[in-house]
Amino acid sequence: MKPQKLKIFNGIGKQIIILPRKSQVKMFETIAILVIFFFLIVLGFSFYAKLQKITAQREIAEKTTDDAVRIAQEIYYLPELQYTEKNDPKGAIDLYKLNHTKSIIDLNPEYYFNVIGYANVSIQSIYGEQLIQNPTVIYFNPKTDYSDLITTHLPILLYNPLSGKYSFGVIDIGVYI
Amino acid sequence: MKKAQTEIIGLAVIVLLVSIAILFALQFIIMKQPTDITKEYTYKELAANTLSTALKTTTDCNNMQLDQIVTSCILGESTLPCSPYQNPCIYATEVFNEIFDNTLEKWNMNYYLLISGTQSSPQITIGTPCTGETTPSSPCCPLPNSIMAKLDICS
Repeated sequence: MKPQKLKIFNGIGKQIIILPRKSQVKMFETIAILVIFFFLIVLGFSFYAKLQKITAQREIAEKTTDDAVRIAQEIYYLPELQYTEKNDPKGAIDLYKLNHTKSIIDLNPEYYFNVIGYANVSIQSIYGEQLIQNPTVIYFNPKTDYSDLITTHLPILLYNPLSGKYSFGVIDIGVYI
Repeated sequence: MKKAQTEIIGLAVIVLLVSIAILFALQFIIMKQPTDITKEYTYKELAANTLSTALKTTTDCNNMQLDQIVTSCILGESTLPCSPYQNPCIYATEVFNEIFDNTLEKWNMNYYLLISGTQSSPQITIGTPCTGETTPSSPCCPLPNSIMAKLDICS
């Protein structure tokens, strides 16, 4: 491809200015369009990647909350904790059962791992009769390589069958991600 | 450079700017958190559980449950047989405050409790009414039909 030559004469001597040909201009245009095109592709891809990351984070957070709610329900209905009268659950946690639940869980770690998984569960009394240990940790199984710990709280009734008093308690569930 | 070429480059720049603007707009729309059903469910459960659990709690006043004290307050039935709180409305508010201070306040949640009866009867209100999104508690609790108890958790 030969460039166009333009000869210009001035007082000192001869000077040559090289101007691009029409085909070269077209090539420059094509390259410019390609650069813009690839720039748009890269921008779109980075946008898509960011979107995917946000969606994934949201799904993880949603799943963790689901897990926490599920664990709270599981704990709430555990016969090891529920206060019952003639096998009829009364919708409260028995304070006397609560004091022995951890030892039962510690004896059967595999069974409770299948039910609860990697989480920490503790129960504390907020108003009314205080627990022997406040909060009482009933399950403690941390994940070794976790990125976050999401804690959920669920108010529950604590019942003392001897005094017949109900206390206001809270189950704290920490789920490891 | 010819006039047509200049126009094409100008057009390309405009297309580029519009594309960037659209991408940014999309990003802001997607980044905005949608109404999370799980979160709403959790908040609703929390509101309902907090209120129903609090009302069933046995208080220090003659082993009365909080719902009995609230009923006495709203219906204006009697004074309480315990000192120093002989006014059931003041005592119920004290107990609710103690519970909420150690739960919802501690978890940095804004809330509004309203227990009311007929128009002329006294009311129990704690917290400030929610201005934005609200998750109300489900109708609940062992209270007489004429008494309405509602706990809103402000999202």
